[in-house]
Amino acid sequence: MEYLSQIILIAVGAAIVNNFVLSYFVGICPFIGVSRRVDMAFGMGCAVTFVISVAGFLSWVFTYYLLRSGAPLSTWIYHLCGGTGDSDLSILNYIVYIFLIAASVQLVEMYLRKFFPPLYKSFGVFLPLITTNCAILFACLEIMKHISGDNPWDLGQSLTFAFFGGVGFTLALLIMAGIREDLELCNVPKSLRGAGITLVIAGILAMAFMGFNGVNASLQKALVVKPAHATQTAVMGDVEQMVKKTNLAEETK
Amino acid sequence: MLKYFKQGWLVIAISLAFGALLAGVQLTLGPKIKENQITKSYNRIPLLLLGQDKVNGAKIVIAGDKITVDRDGKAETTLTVQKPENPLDYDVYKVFNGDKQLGWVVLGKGNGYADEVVCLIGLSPDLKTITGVSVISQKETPNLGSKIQSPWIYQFAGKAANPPLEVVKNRTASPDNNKIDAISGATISSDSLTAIVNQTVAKFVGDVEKLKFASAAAEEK
Amino acid sequence: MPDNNGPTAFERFINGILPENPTYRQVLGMCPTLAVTATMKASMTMAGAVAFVLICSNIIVSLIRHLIKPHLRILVFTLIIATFVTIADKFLAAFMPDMSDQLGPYIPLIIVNCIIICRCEVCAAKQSVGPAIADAVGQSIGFALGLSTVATVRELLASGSWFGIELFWNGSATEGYRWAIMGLAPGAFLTLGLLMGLANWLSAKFEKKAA
Repeated sequence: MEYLSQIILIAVGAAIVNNFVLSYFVGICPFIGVSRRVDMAFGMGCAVTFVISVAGFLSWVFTYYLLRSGAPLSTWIYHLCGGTGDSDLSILNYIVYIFLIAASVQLVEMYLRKFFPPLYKSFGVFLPLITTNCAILFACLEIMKHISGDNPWDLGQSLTFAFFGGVGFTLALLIMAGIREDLELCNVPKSLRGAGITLVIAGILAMAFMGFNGVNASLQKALVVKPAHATQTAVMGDVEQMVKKTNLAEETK
Repeated sequence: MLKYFKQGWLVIAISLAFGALLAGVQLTLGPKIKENQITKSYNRIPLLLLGQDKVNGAKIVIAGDKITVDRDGKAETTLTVQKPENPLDYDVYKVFNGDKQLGWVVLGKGNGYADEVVCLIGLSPDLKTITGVSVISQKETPNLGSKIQSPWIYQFAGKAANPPLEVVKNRTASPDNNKIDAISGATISSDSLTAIVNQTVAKFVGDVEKLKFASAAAEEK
Repeated sequence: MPDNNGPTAFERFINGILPENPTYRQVLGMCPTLAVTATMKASMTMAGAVAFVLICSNIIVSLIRHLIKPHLRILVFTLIIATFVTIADKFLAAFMPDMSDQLGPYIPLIIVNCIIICRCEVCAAKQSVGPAIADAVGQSIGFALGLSTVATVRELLASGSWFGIELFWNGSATEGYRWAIMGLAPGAFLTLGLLMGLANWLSAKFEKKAA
């Protein structure tokens, strides 16, 4: 039950509260470039979500078993070669991630070419360009950040984060595409046409999404089974007991 | 096979060369990076346990597990930090001034209004008084919730650890009661930080008996 | 035979600063421009990191440009860029730890920064080391220029300081005048969008005058 609530918190956080595009500023290049029409935006969003999930899965597996300090597989190989202590391959993190992302894009490309040829054709040059989409590398970096430290994320949580990050990206892209389609009918000043007005609209969207700021805190309060106060008063009761015991011990010395 | 090698020899050569370069970087910079992590917490320990007046205007020098408070080139106080041999999932430091234990410093983490709030809490050796709280990282609303990282936090110094602290909006806080004045316009941030302090202190009081320390110099907890 | 079949080194250098400015003309590298420009100090650190990676990768790619097979070139570029970004990241973590914490995941994101791959592809892979270095330096200056324009506006409005030096709005009476949203996400988008409009307007006026 607690695991499910954690998953929900991560999902809502990645998709809405801390939206990848509007909060973390990743994936801006396709956000400005591809958001002219709703159908193109939806296709791009789906492709990015697909790639980000595959890349998230691969990067969790590689980081957990090979790259972080004390990783099982690399430590075992290190011990085989006669080393002692933990192995720490985290210096290779970024290189491995970018190659995993390139591999994921290739995988998705091959899958689409085999099973959805018309979709593959409509993507054209955009699909290989997803490799340089900041959002995917950002998802891998966040997974890396949460694997080290206390409460390391396991595969389910990382996959949720990656997938719903992609969903949030698609959401932002769709909203922007819808607005821009209507913007074609307006008289935008010449100097602001293109990137300028898109960024201004994105600013207003970001302001709107800032309204979700407290959602995570209240969701957590709603989902956690035990209210914080009860644990607190219970433990503080024990503290009083302990303090009384020490006082007694001191008095009897 | 040879055909692939002829195509890819450059990539393999570059990979090997850069692999060696990165290994060199890791060997030289790795220790310094680890040191920086420790310095981040140690820098705040004098402020938490000795108080503002002793630390204002002085320079803090960290060498290994010794923290020196330097004033005008002269070392005023030297503190020694000990970490437990069986560490918990949150950082705990036992701080000595000479032979006597000066206090405990505990890391507290929790959710604020927007994102995670990380703070260090200083406690007296008998765990009855909170000697100070210092916020290490927060992502609250600027100019509102972010004030938990301003002199507002000094009101935590000297409060009793038990009963748990309470946040009030009617300005009835004073050094000898357990009330904390909320930041006007940022009640949730004030509430969250106080809850983190309360929960961490309660958790630590339960965990402190399990900790083992290297020397038997100071036996009382 | 020298391959001077492109712009000379000096032309590359001048082009990078204003005519082909990465932020305002090429609209590349938007992610760091929005993310780190809350303060001037963070922007200049990011500009320095990008300069380091750009110059080093341009040099290396230019040196081995005749050895790279065409269909493997993106792979090779990415490998070189990722290595230098790792070095820059570790260097920052060791010698400027608070900056490293503030910039967070945006330093590794330099790997997918379109500016660097674009320069490797367009210039370094085709010309010798001289023009490649000039191009890298010019583009870095242009990028730093773009970053500092946005950062100046944002930092002055959000906290009344520049490079951390408090200029105005620092008494408790005027503290409420700070335009806090400029330091957050919406302010970044709005500032960059309006400044881009301003840059387009200025360059259109400049061209009209020249015509």
